[in-house]
Amino acid sequence: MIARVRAARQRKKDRAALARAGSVADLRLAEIPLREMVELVRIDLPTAEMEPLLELGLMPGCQVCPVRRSLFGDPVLLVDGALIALRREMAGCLCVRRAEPATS
Amino acid sequence: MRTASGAGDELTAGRVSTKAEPSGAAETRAAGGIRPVGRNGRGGRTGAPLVALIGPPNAGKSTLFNQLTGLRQKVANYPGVTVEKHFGRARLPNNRDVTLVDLPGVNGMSARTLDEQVTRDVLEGRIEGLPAPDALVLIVDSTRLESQLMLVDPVLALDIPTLLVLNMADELAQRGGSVDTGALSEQLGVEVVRANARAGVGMDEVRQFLTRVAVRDDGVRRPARQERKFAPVTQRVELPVVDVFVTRRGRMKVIGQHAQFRAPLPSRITERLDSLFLHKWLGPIVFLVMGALVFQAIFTWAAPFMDGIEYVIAGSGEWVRAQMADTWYRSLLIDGIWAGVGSVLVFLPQILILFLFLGVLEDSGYMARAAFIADRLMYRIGLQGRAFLPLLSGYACAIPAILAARTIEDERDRLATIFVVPFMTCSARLPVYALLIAAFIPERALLGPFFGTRAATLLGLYILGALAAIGTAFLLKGTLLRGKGAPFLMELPPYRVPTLRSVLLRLYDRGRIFLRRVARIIFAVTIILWALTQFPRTGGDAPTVDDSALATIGHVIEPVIAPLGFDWRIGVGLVSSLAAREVIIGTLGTIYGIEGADEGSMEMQQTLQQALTFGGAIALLVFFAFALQCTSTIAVMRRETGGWKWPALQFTYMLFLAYVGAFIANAIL
Repeated sequence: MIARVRAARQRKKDRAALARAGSVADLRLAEIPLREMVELVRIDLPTAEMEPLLELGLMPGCQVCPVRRSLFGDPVLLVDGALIALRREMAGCLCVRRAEPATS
Repeated sequence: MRTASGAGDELTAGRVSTKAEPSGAAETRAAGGIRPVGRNGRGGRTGAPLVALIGPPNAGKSTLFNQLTGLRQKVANYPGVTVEKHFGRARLPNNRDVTLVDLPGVNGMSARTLDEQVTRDVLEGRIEGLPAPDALVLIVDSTRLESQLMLVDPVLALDIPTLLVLNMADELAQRGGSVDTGALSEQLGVEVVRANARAGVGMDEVRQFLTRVAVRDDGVRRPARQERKFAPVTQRVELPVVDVFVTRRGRMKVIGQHAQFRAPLPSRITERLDSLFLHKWLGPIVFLVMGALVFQAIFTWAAPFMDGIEYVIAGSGEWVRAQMADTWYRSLLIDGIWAGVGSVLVFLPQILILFLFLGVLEDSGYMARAAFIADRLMYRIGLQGRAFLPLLSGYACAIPAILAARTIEDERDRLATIFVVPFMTCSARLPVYALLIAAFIPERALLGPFFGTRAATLLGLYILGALAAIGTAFLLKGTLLRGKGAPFLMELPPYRVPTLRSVLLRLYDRGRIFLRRVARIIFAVTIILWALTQFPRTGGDAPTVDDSALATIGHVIEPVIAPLGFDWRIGVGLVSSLAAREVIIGTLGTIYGIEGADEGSMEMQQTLQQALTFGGAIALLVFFAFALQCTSTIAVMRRETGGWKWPALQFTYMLFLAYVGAFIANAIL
């Protein structure tokens, strides 16, 4: 119980930190609905942690499409024809851009 | 059993495992201990040329390797399964041959993970006793050509003759993709071959390339110079890593365009299956059902085979006994070696059934999904999704489980997983549990006719092990292996129907490793134990057990174990079980003079009821749940962690837990 409350608090903190790190306009992959293709523009991770992503083809300029989300919000992405699973925390570090400016 | 590639006494195919080393370790040893092909430094320039197979995980390296060498080796549709380096000799049409080395799958050459480090060391010829390869076969999944070509850059930069194999060409065509191999070859300046390694398509072309390597024909084209003029974007350049990759990717896109690469449509079948297996709610349910099924299979399907093996061993032992005169070596042969080796053989069905399941799950592509589903839970306890496979394997045997942990990229996570694996209730604990439960727990129904007190006790012991594992993982992540959780990132391969050949090869391979690793130790221990019961001799006769050297050892340790409710006989059993858990049964049989002792023996049960109190019996169960009584596990840990530090710590920690746990159990019951 305590752990859960603590985790929730931590999540709130994480979100706040993320909001501070990027500009408000930054769109995160975690916020993209399923099946929407977007372009990756930036990875907010230290170099060492970024490398495995780059090696799998997840790099600025590539087209990414979240195809599934687990019960806990961890996404599966379609990148270059490959399915790549990652944690929602990491999806929160991926800044993306919609293909066309969202028309209301 | 080494005649797989059929060249007589000269070792043509060997399995050499690399010494693991923590990637952060200061003392860098060049992945030592590599003794490649041959006993007298063959594999050097004087022997057959060396060709390395390299490629991203899951591109089909191992399948190609099997096609070319016919050597048994592990293949799986699970990224990063090649946990040991495999050598084999490819027979070529003109009666020449080359030595092939199958390297672990890598996405890059940054040597961030153990696998990448091994690969880079081999390619650069930095491994002692193993020359740099004469040629490379770079195999990629053609359905994902552009991103897989990322590996081309660092590989071509090595300036070694290379053949590029575009594997899974059938799938590419089937899903509406295409590529012009001739144009691609021109672009990259290397030979390019379209292949489908599973079906053997394209193997002739690969063999032709190898033949040319074997005769050192200059026709093997080197990576074209002019290509590399505008090329190798190496990381030595002072560019941010991201730019290196983005530039590389951009170039591969251009190359792909020149080669008229048309990307295939997404796999329909994979999409359909994932809509069940990765479904929000159904996915985890299927996952649990699969886990339960594997478990059920290990315990129920294996039972008749195990009974069969036991029957044959015991029967044949008795038969041989009847044929021989009553001499000292008859006792050694039957009571020592025969019974000892038999006690290991009995676990073979369980191990094989486990690997049958794991094999099918891995080859089909489900295991990667399972790791993804398990990740959240594992993350909570301080591990990660990739730890799921090792931990599940740990329920059969810790040795393959520890090897499987190599797929975990993060060193901290890998160490934590290795450390936790021995708490999983491996099958060597089962006979001990079965014997003690049968002797001390009266059968009473708890929940209907199928779940009684005995089953509950067994389940309780499994849970006890799992809880200890969780607690230990927590403890490690808070202390020795503190650190931010490594990112979890896993490629989910498309689903494929596992081939019978690949699954059978794996069973053969794993079965062989298990028997060789474990049998050797059991063999030695049973002989030593037997010898200890035969001395000191008085007037040429063997002493009674109470006067033997074994009893002397037992009496020495008795004061230490008395608080746990154990006498010297159990003590001797415990000492012998340090080699391998199940040995205790045979040992107690020897000490109490029970012939043909196994966990089902009534005589054995009655004897134990005399020897132990109820509290003592529970204490013994708890002791077995926690203690690291397995020399093979310790040996594998030492190799995989690159030193004695971790195994020593592990042994002490688990012994401490076992002692305290047993003490408490004995005190309160």
